[in-house]
Amino acid sequence: MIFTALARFLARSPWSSAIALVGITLASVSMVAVHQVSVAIERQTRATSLVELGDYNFFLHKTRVSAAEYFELRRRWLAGGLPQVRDLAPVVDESRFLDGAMVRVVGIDLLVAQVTESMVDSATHPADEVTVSGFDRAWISTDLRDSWRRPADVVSSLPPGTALMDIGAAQELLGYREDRLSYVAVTVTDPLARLKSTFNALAPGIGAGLPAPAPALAEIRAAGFDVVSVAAQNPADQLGKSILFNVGALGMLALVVAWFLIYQVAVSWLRRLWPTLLRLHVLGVPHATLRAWFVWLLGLLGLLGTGAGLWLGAVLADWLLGRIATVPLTQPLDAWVVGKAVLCGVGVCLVGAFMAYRNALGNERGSLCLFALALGVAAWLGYVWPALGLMGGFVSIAASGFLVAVLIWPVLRALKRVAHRFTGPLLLRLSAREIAWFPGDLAVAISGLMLAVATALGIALMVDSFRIEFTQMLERRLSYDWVVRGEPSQLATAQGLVATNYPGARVQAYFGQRSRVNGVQVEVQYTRLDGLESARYAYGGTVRDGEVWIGEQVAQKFGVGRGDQLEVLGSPRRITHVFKSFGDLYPRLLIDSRGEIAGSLDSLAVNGLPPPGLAALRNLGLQVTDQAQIKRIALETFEQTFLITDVLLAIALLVASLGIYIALNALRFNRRSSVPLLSTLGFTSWENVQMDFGRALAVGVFAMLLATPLGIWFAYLLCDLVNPRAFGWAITLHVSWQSVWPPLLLGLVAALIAGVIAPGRKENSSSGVLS
Amino acid sequence: MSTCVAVRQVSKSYHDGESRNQVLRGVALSLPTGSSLALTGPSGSGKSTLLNLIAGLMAVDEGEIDILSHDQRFALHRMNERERTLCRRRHIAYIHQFFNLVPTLTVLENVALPGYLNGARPGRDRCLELLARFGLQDAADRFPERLSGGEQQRVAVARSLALDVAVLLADEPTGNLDQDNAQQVASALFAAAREQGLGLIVATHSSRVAELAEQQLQLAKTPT
Repeated sequence: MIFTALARFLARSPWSSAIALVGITLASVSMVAVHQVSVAIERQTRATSLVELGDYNFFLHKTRVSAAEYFELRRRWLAGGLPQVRDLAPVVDESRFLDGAMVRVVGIDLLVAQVTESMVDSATHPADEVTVSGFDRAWISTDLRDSWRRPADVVSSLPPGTALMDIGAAQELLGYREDRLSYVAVTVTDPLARLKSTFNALAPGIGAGLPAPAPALAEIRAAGFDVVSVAAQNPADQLGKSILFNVGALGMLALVVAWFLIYQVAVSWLRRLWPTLLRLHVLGVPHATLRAWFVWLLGLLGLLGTGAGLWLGAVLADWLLGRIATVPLTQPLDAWVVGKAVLCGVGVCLVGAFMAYRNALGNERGSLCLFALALGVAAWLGYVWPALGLMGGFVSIAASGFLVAVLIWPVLRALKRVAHRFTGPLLLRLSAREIAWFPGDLAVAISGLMLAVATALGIALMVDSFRIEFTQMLERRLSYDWVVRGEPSQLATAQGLVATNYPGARVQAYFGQRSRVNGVQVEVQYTRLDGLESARYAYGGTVRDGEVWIGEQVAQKFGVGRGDQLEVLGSPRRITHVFKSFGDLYPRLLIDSRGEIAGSLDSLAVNGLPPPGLAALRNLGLQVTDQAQIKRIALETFEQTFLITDVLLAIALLVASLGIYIALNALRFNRRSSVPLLSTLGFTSWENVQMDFGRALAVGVFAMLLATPLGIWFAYLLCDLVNPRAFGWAITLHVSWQSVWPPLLLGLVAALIAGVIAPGRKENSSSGVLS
Repeated sequence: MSTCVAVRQVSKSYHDGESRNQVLRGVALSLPTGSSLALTGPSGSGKSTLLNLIAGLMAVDEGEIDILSHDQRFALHRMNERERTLCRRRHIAYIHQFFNLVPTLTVLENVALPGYLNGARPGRDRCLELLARFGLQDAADRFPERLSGGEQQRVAVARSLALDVAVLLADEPTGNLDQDNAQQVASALFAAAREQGLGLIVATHSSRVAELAEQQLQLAKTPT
């Protein structure tokens, strides 16, 4: 009988049931789409790192590492002297200009079982056939296929520009003595590894922000080794993971907004069902039974919505990936995403229904003050505690957002107490007061909209600030017409050719090599640091011997700045300038080439060269690139990188506006007594629409008033905390009206649309009929 | 004496799916200006429906309803929904059994509401004076949820006097109140109507309230 009553409610309120179903579906779509996109990006990111070294999470480095030192470490490890270390292996890993291309030569011990197994795994990639042909062959990445002139097999899974071989072959190729190593790779046991792995499977990308284990390898450090994380060895991997973490964190936002929406659905439905449930209770049905029925009814709706969301989310993810990737990245739904969607879709429906019923019975809410205090402490800790790394930044953002969200309900309650002081036109006054009158119905929806808009605003401000600085940097940095790359000997020929035949042209030569400073792989570049070059790097002084300019990433990694000393390739240098280094894959150092130079001629930058000169350079087999084109491509890539951010925010905003729609419908339901009264007093239909509009406007304005400072705070945290911790780039926050108004307008329009569509049809039909 | 409400051969039915429920058939009444009429009859006899038709909240199926106010005649049966609404706003006051006050407006604002709706801005003193007539001046800045049922009904009566309307309609105005409060509200209602010279129509089940009216009209359930 109870089921019949509830089922009839479903059938008799098709619009409300459909909206609830759409709400849950949309919430599931956002979860699934974000998950699928994150998984695809993570797979692509993993492809840029050397899987053969994937299990090693740290490496031990010093200026000269010998095989004897490795064997000494191994002896101590086997004797149980290094309990934190699970595995260790010798590695030769250096970059050299070989056969006309810059190659990362990686030498590993092919006798180590796990390495061999990974090689066999990589052979399963369909692009190329691999034959493990012995210790004298190399495995090279596909981009080296044409230039490599030694025995090798092409392996599509290797990162670009990489040649993998036995350690002996690598030593021979690099001209190393047979006992010389680059570093010792170690696997340090991470007690949280399984937890992190599960967490990352549930929210792909989030794992990148979790703090790495901090090995207490005092004995090793005492032996003169630097203990460096593998992430520092592969900055591209670190960069990719940071981007992925951003996407993952945005996914968490979509998830939270989706939870809010589902809870809103539960509250709204219960509001409509409440008279029926109360009558059943009066007839003797216990609240526990009624609650169970209500919870299961919403659970059923959640199951239907989740099923639809899984399918639509996969379609949306495919479409998104098609827009941002040049290679197909589509993948089937895995068990994690299905589990997550069911857990969120059905689980939140069940929990939300339970909580909504509990609140409807007037049960005490938990201690809001304590919760708010805990959030405040979390936000503060994430901000001030650098050891929390990237995760700390996002903890700070999430806790700040939640802090404001949980305070909405008491703020609305406080507003109700002073509501009699509201003045202004009658309709506006009525609308504004209704927002304060039903805090339970609106607080969650306003929180969702506020969080979505604040995040959109925060990211818009961060992206715009980033774009401003990136463009300024490109303007300065790309002040040459052409960049010429090729083999060092040909570059030297080209330099001479231009100097002899085109005296009006300017040629800037760049020498470089990749090296390790304090164990971290850096790009050391030499060039003539004259007036033009100083302007490119925004440096105002004159350059002297023994000085070095460092990129921001170097400054952050080594904790050094202007005026400090840094040992570069065995000689100490004074840091005189820290330059912006957006987009640099490796931390970079710049040294004046008038002193001693290490490394080979890497590239030339040319200004004022006529077309015949350019043709002559191309005839030498050199690659000549137009700087304007580089700038255009760089900006296009920049915009493309943030396309996914825009789409994710649009989804979050859509979900939030649906939440507002449902909340406003609940509000209309609450007004079922005053609507006929106003009608009796002479309110016209148009004035009723104006009321709907006014109410939506009040909700929108209230949410935007909270979202604006919160969004600016998010932007500040992203620029000042997250970006430096993730990429080593500091971005100066530029707050401009042009960046602020679009997200606010979108949020306001979303609230207004939600407020004025389908205004309570049932209310109109029953106007004035009260008995 | 002129007639402020004239109802001629009015019929009204409701449709519920396939079935049709005839609530009023051929009802006629005439209310002289300044007099009062009690509508009585069993539940379902159409008392509220007749009041809603006179208020212009519904359109008649058949028949005619005229309202005379300030020497103007308003033929409700010829008006569309918007015209009826604007006529009601200016010339008719209506008191329900409950939910008479807008919960998000203070007592004073509720009294001032009809004035606002008609584009006037009624003075605070005038509204306070009306409230004082019903002993509610101290409640002016409170919200309705802080008032008792009887106080809320008295505020509704005060509001009905805020404009110079011709007709005051009340649907079970005391149905939700205890005996003492019901007596107070009914007395206040009839006294106010007499003083202002309004035509008052009250739908009620209470014989005590009905006895206060100058005329009574008993409606019977329409056979289907």
